[in-house]
Amino acid sequence: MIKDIFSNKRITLAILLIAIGSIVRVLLHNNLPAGPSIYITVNGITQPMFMLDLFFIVAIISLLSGILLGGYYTFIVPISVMIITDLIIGNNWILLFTWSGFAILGIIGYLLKAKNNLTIERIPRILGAGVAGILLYDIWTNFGVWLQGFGYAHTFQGLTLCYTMALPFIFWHLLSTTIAISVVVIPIVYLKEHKISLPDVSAHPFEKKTAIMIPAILMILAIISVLV
Amino acid sequence: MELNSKQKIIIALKLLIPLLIVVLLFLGGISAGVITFEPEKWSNGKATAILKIDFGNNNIYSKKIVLINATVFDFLLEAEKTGDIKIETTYWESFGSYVVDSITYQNKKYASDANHYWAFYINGEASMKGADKVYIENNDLIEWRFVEF
Repeated sequence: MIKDIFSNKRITLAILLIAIGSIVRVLLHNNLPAGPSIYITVNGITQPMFMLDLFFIVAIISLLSGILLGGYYTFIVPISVMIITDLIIGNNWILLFTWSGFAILGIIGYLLKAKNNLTIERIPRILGAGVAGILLYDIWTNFGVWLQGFGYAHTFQGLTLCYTMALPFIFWHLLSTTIAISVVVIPIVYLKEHKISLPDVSAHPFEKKTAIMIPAILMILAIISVLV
Repeated sequence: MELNSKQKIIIALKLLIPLLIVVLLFLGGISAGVITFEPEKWSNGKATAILKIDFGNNNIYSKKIVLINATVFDFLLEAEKTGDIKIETTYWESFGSYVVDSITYQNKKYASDANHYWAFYINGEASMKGADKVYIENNDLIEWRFVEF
């Protein structure tokens, strides 16, 4: 039985990605260095320019699960990493927003692979997709923070303040994840260009639809969890 | 597929131009004073502050505490040392700060849940930073309120 599971390359790779993501996130948790002494003033609020967190670990695992595995794994891998590590580190009501955010990143990775974008001339596009994914994740999760309240008024000013306070995280996510994508995805493109085949990620149409449906359902549940 | 020189230059420019824009924005931010390298301003003297914890239903704990170079969080920890209260906290990676989960007072635990959370106010004003990031000035009033959603 176990032998059968590990003979399936997709499952083996998925387990490997989940294990790497979970171990790295748990080990680095509380061991992050202090951010650099760079401060930014926006709307009269001065705050550190970078607030270090481990977003890039799960972000890169999400993108890799989409690129290398596709289908169900675009959401199974990142959400498994989050569930396992959240059980150890802890999380709060925002989990549905973060989980669905990472599932969206998985889909972006999957679309990159599906559209045969993993070539050297498409590297700028890969990095661009990564940046777009990060911005989408931060816009979505911070919208959740504002929706929940947490000291922010439910007005346009409250929303602006919420996003202003999120800038140190957004800047760090952009910097750390762009570097992580360069370090991880560019070698994959190089290997592919040199005729080293990647695992077959051809998925059943139902699997493709499910991969898109699940993050959408999670997003709707996240909104409902805040409103109810 | 082999790339010709023109394609290679185009790819390089696609990578370099956004990088250059980011560097220029950063340098522009520095020259405009939006981006600075000064450490955050904080109190560097002895601060006497009143720590008030409002548990609701007129159940209020209040204590005058004196500390040097201390944050809101330090004042709460100092109150815990007296044995009057007991606190539980969690470090929230997403906020880069500690958040108070519960405060136990007179053998009753007031824990954050789906309908309650602990918020702090300095001189009546809510803070948008974590309790371990806000430094207290002399004569400040620190209020912790068990807020209901």
